[in-house]
Amino acid sequence: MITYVYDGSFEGYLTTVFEIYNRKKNPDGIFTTSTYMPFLMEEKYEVSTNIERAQRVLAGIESKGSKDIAAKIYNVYLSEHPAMEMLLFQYIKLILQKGSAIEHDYRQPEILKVKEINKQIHREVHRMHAFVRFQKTTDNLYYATVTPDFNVLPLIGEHFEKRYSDQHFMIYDSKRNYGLYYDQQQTMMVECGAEQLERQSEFVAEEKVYEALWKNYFQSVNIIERKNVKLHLRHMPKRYWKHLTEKK
Amino acid sequence: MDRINQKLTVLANAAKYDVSCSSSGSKRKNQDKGLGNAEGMGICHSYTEDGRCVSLLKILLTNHCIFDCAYCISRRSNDIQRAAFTVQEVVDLTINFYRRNYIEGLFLSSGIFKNADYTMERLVRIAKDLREIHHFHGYIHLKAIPGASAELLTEAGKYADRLSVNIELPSEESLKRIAPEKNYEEIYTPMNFIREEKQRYTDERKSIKSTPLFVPAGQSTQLIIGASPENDVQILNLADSLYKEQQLKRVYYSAYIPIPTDSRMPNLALPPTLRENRIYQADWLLRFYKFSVHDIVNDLHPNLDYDIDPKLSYALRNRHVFPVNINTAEYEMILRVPGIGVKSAQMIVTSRRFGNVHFDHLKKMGIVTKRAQYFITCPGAPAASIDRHSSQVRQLIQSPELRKKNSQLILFA
Repeated sequence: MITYVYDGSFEGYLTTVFEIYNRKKNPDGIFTTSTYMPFLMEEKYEVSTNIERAQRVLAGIESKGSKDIAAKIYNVYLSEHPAMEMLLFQYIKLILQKGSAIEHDYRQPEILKVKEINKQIHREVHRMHAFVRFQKTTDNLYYATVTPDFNVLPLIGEHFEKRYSDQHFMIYDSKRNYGLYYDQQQTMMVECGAEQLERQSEFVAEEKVYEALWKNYFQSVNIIERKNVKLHLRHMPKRYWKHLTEKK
Repeated sequence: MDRINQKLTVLANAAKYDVSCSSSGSKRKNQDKGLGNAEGMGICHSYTEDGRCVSLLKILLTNHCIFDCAYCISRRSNDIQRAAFTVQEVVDLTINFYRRNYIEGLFLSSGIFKNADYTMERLVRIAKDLREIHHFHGYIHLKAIPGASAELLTEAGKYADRLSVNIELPSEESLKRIAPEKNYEEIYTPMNFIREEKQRYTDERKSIKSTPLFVPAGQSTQLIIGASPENDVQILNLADSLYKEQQLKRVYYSAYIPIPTDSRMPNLALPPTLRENRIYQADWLLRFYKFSVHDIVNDLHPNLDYDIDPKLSYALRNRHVFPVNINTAEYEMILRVPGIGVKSAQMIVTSRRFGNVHFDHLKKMGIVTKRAQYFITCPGAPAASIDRHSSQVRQLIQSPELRKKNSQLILFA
């Protein structure tokens, strides 16, 4: 039984792929330092993250495969799917062996699975585009808290930056304890201390006014004669409600 | 603020029967660090309890109206509360909702007060203020008021991403009966004008890159279903000609919500939402599945089957074109199989280049084999399925609730 353990970063994962090829020893399991549990009779290899090696793997994927395939692999990594490491290893192996065309052979279980997870990721990204609700703080920051199913913050910055290029905003993932912060110049990943989070819960007076107007609007466009709760819930699952002004 | 809240209640409530909520298909990008971006896919920011998408701030500028169209809640003779927004109020609501990520933009319509131009001018002024004073690049959908001047429509087209004129009644006879102050000519005149202008701008753009956008997300319209006697052939033929000849981006269908107090209108117990749903499904077959109207409804079958979807209905009536061989058939034929959507059809076509696609692969790709099995051949497919009689297949596929309902009907008949 051969296991590889890496630090949980994407670069760490790509370094792991490098090491597997380098050592010519296929893994029976790939874990992060936090998911790893020791097995009896195992041969364990601890990977130390190496940016240069990670980049070589990425370059290999992009040249044998494509930029698009590399992006799909990153998305699967962000999915935090429990078996994601081994799935991606099989997938990368296929791509490196057979080239980019193989990504459309959906008869192969790994290819189908990567496609499925990408679909879930895209849906979650789309939900974040839709369900982020900013509140204006006394520091003139438009602030939103989210708890997405997957770690999609790295995928949504560009969308909000294009749209709100003239306003400071922060989208904070309270499940993973970090946020995207845009200062009208660039978007960056930030962590917030308790004090800062406190400050970000003080809103300007007009905030209440617009929240009330929005709730009123939401009620007023509903057509009672067409009530369809099942459809409503399918589009807006309950777990998102806690961050939605109109459903709170 | 209470006054604004009251106006919003009245004027959102009056606008909600216009079902269009699309915010997609525009090419407008953020520029010079302004506010908003309307390029690319539309986003539904919320869903009402009736399951409809909320993408835009959809309101009337006013529900005062000089017309008396029987289908319309804002008709002159209806005894309801009236209200009107000021230009500034609409602008403030749009900007502040947009900044909080509640909406993609504004969908502004209006009752006709004084006359068409007077009304259109105010709609245009709001769009102009949003674009020029507030540097707003989000989505704007304006109603083109029938009878408005060419100058105003041209100006509207420069600020709006989409313009729409609602046809509402699917035939001119019905329109005359239900909305005596309207006629088809007045509806088609602005629609034609906008189509021609858009074409002109598009052509000009090919040689002069700096040509401004003109209604980049195109035109749409709405038809009311069930308020007048037209059958589904008439409705779908009208929609088809609107897509092909008027180059509309979307035709929306809205189940008639009964107005029991007006003698010009039919007295239904409930809005015909199932019929509306079947018409939407047929509309999708026209736009994405390469069906013709004749495939779906025709003189022999002038109305859609409400118990099963139109694609299944087509397949059961045309067993002679099935079974489709999954590994050799043209893409167009694979699209015709019930249970196979556009995405799965594409997956089949790309995968089979690498070798035979088996029945098990189809299941894993997410194809509804429970439906598809009666219409396909491929290795591993249950052989007996394709020999079943259409009436039997229909029975086997129908949803359990429907089967229950039908058996109850038989029991009580």
